This record gives sequence, C-alpha cells and structure tokens, in this order.
Amino acid sequence: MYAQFFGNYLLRKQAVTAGQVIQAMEEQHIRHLKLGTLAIHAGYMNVSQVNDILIRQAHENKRFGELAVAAGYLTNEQLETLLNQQIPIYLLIGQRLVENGAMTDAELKEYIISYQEENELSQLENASIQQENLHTLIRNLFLITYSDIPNYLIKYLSLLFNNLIRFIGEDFIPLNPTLCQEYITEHCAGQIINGEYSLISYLDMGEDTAIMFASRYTGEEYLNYNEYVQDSIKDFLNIHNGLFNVNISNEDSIELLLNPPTDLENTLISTTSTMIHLPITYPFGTLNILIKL
Amino acid sequence: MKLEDTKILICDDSILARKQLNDIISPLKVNRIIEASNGQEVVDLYKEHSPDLVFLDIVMPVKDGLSAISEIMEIDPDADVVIVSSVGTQSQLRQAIQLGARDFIQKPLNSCQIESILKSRFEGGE
Repeated sequence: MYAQFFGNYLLRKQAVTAGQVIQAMEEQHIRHLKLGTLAIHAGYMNVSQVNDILIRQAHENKRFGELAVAAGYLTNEQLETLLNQQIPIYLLIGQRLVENGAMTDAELKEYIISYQEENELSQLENASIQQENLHTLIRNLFLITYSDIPNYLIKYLSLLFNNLIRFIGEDFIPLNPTLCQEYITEHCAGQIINGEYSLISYLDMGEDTAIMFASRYTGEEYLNYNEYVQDSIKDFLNIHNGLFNVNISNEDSIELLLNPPTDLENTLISTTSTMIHLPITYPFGTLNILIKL
Repeated sequence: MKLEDTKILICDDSILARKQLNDIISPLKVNRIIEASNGQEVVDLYKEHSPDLVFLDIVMPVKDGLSAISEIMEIDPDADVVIVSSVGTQSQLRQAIQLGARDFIQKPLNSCQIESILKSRFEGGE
C-alpha cells in the first residue's frame, strides 16, 4: 500500500490540511525501519548483501524483499517474518495525525477502511498485485481531471512514483493534478520521448527546493544553487525516462527514442493540446511534473 | 597494463554524471582522466589522446554516442568503448555491440560495476 496516496486521499476528503499531512510524514519517516535494516538486525543479511540489493533495486522495478529472495539472501519465511515486523507506513502517518490532534482514532479507522475499499486494496503483497494497486491509485488520482488517462501514462507515473521513492525519498504526497495549457518554469528540465507514442515531460521546482532535491539525489550536501544542482534535475529526469523506455521495451516490445534532456529555466511552456500538471510535495518543497501529450 | 598507466576518456553531457564517474575512477589512481561533453568532442579527444578506455553515454546533444562509436572505430578498430547510458533496451544494446562497444552499463551509475570493468582490464587499483 502506498502511504503517499493515503495522504492524498485524506486531502481529497478534506479530512486534514496539506501541512498536517506533511508534518506527520516527516515525523514518521525517522521511525519507519526499512526492510534492509530489519534484515541486518535479525542477522538474516549482512551489509554488503543489503547494498547489493539496493543497487539491483535501482535498476529493476521490484521490491526489496522480492529481490532478496530471488538472490538467495532471504527465504520466503524470513521475508514474511520481517514484513510482519515492519509497521505499514500509512499506519504510522495515521498515528501521527491522531497524536497531533488532526483527527480522532475512530475517524482514522474509518478513513483507512474507506481508502482500502475505494481503491480495492488488499493486504496481499505479491508484486503484480502491488503494481495493479498502484495503477488503481493513479487512475483514482486522475479521476476528475483526466478520466480516460492512457495506460502508458499510468505506467509512466507508476515508475515515476517508484523512482521518487528510490532516489529522493518516500516522504512525498502527490497533490491533485490539473490540466493546463501554459506554465512558466523556474528551474526546469524537459525531455522528449518519441516513437509509437510520444510525450514531453518536464520537472520544475524553485531554487531552494532544487538545492534540497539535488542533495538528496546525489547524497552530497549542496548549500547553493550551482551547475551540479541544475544537472541533478536533468539527470533524474533522464534516468527516469531511460528506465521507462527499458520497461516499455521489455514489457510491450515497443522501442521508444529519447532526446537529450534540456534546461528550461524561466521559460513559458505552452501547448494547444493537453498538458498535465502534477505537483508533488516533499517537506523541503514542491516538485512540479508536467507532461505534454 | 597497469591502471596507473592508463588514460580514461569519459563522455557524458551531464556534468553530474561526469563528476560521479570521476569520483569512482580517481581513487583507483589512473594516469589521466579526460572529459568530453558530447559525441563530437569525444571523437576529437580520442584522436588527440588515444585513451585506453572510453566510457560513453548514448543520448547526447550535437552527436549521439552510437554515431561516436562508429567514428572512434574508424580511427581505431581496437578501441575499448564501454557504453554508460540511461537507456538500456535490447535493441540499443545490440546496436552498440554491433558497432564495436565491448560493454554496456545502465545508469544510475554503480561504482562496483565501473571498478570491476577497470580491474578486469588493467592491473592494480587497490
């Protein structure tokens, strides 16, 4: 289950404010133990095995546990034990919201049940169901804005959310998407994907957000906006789009072409057709995803 | 050949990717790291320096990596070119190998893969 979407669900239901959800996500982030950490603590895996899986995870759209079992580092029984120890992230967020007085225990329970029902979520954890769950969550996210969202765009966004979790962090909330025809960028990168279908994607953010984004992306601490910070936005977009092309090639046997990413600082992006604007909020600022179809 | 005697040519339009590669290779104490930011520059720098190994991106402005491999192979049919790209589809991999590339690494960069490529070709680097 994706905590990020539970946060968006609460926002759509006007149960809480964006500020309350962001605060709760930031507070719980520290307390949520990752599967790798739990595996080391239990003595099931050593540090180099965990690192090996993290490297593989950067290249494959699969969960940590699934890869660790495939590599022979964990048995299915050990994975199940670890998953039972790992409190789901949405429960931790919910707990923080209750502790912070944003809602009562009873309200939280009701929202969790209705969230699961409306998104057809179950506790089954196999990868293809997880993937289908995420697709359902994305369809619901776009239900009002763009109800006939094409499948390839769902795949694109599904991978984007996974890549954000992998490379930037899981403490984000997708805000409600809108359709627009004009957008003025701040610090932005854009890239064209061409082929059987084509799309142009942009990643835009303010200066302070870009500095924090780059620091998280590269693992280095940047204090000022510089060429490395600027390039981090481009590099993330390029790697994400490259992985999307690989997935589409592997899953659908469609070969798409990728143009080099470009910088688009303080630029007016406009279209006569459809452009989706999806803001994604992190505690350090908002990333604006724009997709021209 | 020892790592400390080798010249490595890195070509990527991303200054960040070049820095990341440089950060992985520099501690291995190679003789020299040369940087290019597009396909034309890498061809020109190959002619000038005759490096022992080239790390080459595919998606780049001015001239892409696949065109650059062809030109490098014309200059030196024994050139050792390793593709480092965000796009690693089967058809691109095939195309790169057909043109003469000897290895293919998909981004994001993984220091173990880069180190193992260097250590499999050259001595030292511990």
